[in-house]
Amino acid sequence: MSDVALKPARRPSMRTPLDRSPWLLPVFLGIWLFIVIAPLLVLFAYSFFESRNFAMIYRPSLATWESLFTSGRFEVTVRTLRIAMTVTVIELLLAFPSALWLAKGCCSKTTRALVLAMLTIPFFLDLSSRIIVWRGILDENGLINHVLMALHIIGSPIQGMLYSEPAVHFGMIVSDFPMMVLPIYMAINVIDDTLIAAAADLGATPARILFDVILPLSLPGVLAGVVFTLGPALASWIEPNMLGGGFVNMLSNSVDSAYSALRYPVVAALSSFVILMVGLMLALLMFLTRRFADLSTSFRNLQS
Amino acid sequence: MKDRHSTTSQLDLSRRDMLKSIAATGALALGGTFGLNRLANAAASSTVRAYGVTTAQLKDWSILQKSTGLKMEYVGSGNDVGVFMRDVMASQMGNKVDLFIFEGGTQNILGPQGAYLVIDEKNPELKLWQRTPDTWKRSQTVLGSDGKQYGVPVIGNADSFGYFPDKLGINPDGSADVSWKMMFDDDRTRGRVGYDKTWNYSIGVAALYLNSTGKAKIVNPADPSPAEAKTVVDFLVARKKAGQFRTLVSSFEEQIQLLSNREVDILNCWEPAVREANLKLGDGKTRYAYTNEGYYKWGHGAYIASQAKDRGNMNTIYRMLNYFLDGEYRALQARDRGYAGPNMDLAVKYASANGWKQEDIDNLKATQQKVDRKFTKPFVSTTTPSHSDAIEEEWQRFLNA
Amino acid sequence: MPARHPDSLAYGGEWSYWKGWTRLARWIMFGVLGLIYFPLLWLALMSISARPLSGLPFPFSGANYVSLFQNGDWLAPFGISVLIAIGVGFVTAVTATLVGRALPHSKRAGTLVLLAVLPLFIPGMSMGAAQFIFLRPMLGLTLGFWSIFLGHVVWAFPFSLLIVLVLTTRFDSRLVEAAADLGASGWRTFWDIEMPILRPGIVGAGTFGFLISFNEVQRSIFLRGTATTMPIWNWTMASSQQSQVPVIFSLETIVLAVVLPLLAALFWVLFVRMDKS
Repeated sequence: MSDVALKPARRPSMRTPLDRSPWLLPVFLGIWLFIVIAPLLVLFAYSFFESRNFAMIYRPSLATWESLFTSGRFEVTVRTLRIAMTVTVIELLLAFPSALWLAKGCCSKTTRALVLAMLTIPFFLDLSSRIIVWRGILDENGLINHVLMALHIIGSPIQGMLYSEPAVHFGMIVSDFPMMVLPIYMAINVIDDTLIAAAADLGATPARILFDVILPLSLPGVLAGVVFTLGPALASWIEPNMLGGGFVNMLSNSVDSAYSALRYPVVAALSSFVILMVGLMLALLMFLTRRFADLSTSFRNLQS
Repeated sequence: MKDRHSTTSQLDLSRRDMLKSIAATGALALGGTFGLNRLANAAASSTVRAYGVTTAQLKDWSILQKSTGLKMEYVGSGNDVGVFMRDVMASQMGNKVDLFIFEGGTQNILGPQGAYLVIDEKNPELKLWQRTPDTWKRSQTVLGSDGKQYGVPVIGNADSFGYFPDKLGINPDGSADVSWKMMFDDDRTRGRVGYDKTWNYSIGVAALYLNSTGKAKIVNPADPSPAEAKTVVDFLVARKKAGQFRTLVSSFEEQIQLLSNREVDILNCWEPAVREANLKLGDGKTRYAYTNEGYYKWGHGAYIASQAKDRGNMNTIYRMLNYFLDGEYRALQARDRGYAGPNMDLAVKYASANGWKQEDIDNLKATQQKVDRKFTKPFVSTTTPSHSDAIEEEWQRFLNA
Repeated sequence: MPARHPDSLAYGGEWSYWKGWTRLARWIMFGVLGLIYFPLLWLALMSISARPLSGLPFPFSGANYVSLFQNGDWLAPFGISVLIAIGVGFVTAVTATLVGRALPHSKRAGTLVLLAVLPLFIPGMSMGAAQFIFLRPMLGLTLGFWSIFLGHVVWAFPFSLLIVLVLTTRFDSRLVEAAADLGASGWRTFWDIEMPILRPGIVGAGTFGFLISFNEVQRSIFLRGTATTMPIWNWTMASSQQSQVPVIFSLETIVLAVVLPLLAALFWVLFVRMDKS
């Protein structure tokens, strides 16, 4: 009896990858702190300085933060957050069924490989060239209006398809789709089919299978997909530039403009503000979901 | 480091890093395009290295080698003045190149800080300096605000806007003066105007227009004070809300696309955009305007990096600078890009001597006349207005409206 | 109880209550893929047009391809982009695997993941500016290819890590523990047990790293020194007042035509031939 109790203590290490190399995570943390967190802290410190006429003034002041709110730059942040979140939600709704179909409902493995390749290819190609094509299609003399008028469905061209927020949403959704699908696909792909079979055999309705079996098991993938979409969506600058026509001013445009005048403090303040907002949102999310699920324990449960 | 100076420039920040960069040079062998030992050989060779805007490049630098024996190694930068100045100041680009070529204005900041050398006007290699007219030599592109001569003029042009004369009922041969009112405050063009998104490019011409209507009194349209900038932006915000602008443009491809597809009737674009659009639509369908009130006059200047002082290839550098003033460079740029510059008469001489087609020679003369006509009107631009922070801040209001 | 053959589930059959969901999902997937590829095909069509930026492809001409091959300016930046991207893909795959294997067992998993994922939410320009300020004025290092490489690794690492985490959080650690109990060395445990299961994640991480580095421009502008990658070259050329569109369109069509079959073959080999048994 006491033998069994002592056994784990006699061989403390070598049982998990972490135990084999306990130095790994601290070393990684150290390197990461140096090349990522330190620059960000420096940037944050810069937000408390000012710049005048392309040169820095190293006197601490809150002037930059004040001007952030008086010049209306912060509403750029709010707008960016709103658009990014809307796009992420729409992507989730579109991508989850697609990933589910691709992983579980698809026909043959060749098709699967082909679709995966097609999802990844666009990354090779320049985003601005792809977006500029949409301008020619959505515009007043563009393809869609042309076709609709030729078919006499509408009398005069639809304005507002381009240079508006819906156009920016559309551009972002089309560009970010693969980012959302691929992680969810990977997560659903490893769900054991026998689990689903067992649940069905036990008499679960398909809705219950979806919500109680598939969804929780694919949660890491869903979260990864949300992060992959939300991050770049916040930083997107080509879609608002080309499809927004100056009516949809987003974060990257504002940062770009400040940088062209070498206003590092403004760049720093804007970025810090965004991180703050995102942090608040995440904290809110965690607080709300804590009532329904606990993420870290759910990770551990997934392993068994 | 931050406490040592209350105000400092980026140049100061990196001076103390010279020592560290020497130590780090070993790590650079992997990536350096211009190694230190190659620079040492530059004194013996006749290679000039330049960093700057892509529009100052010859389409084919081998012509340079054939006619003068000089070799040019060019590293392109974007048009972004922030990036350029950062590269010169903080990244110490002058360690790797001899010449900088950029739009006028940077010498006001970088010259006094010592990043550029003052041009030695008496250098024997600068043969064409004396005969270059003052309008070019002493323009705000190359003369610093402190009165020192930092640069040699390389290119100049005057930007206005492109328009469709048939749509707006204007003389289709494009020779008439059009007012900027057509762009900002005209019912015929409401909702059909394209406006450039870059504040530097767009706010000056708006200020020029407001001056001419008497609604404002802006002393220097290229460098409005914060209060003046506010007035201009208030006007622009009102026009934006009234639906005057169809879109704000930010790239050259967009300009071409908008004009070729007739999505806008008027657009303050770069001149080559009009050329490209006419290739598709037919000659003369789009015209680049002569205006009543004035133009966005810009120029490129060539500046010598201060680090080139001790490299021993000063003569080569000055020969290159002289080439920029000479007929061959002038003629080629005028033919390929439609830009003008100093000493256009030398270009005509070069073209005739080298057997160019008569129509090409006539085009050279026409380019010169066009530029002469435009340069009589006021307003020169600068990439580094002294109130850049305030102007950029106000511009955000316009973009957010 | 009749045993259900797993293959029948693969066809989305009996356990779904609404036969239509497969059709709907298929429509969504191919619909969005169609929207993604329509510009690319249009691009390919326009690359053989004499006027790439206009609305119509006529007249046809191969001039764009001719100028692509005649004017070799893009070759050096393209090659550099590919080299850096391969390096970034490799490094991020390795580090993501190492960290991703160990992370689920750590007590501070949540905090570490948040820290690692932080760069994702920062606009590229800000991150580039931050790293530039840190490396150049503060540490005094001269920038070049290595700094672009570093910036790309930092940007791509969160993606790779999350992809690997998707699999390692589901990984049954009892397999590893069993192997340890049976006396297998660390390397054998990794190669024989973890690798087959994690392989899609590792390959995915490397691929993501490659692709993200290949097209990255905002950070690269800051960290470039004098080096030029393909996206930087595009960006400098965009201000050249002569359209680079012909070159870009032709180049992208060629890349599309070459890479699509290659990647399809790669995925087929990985996911079909070597699928977990």
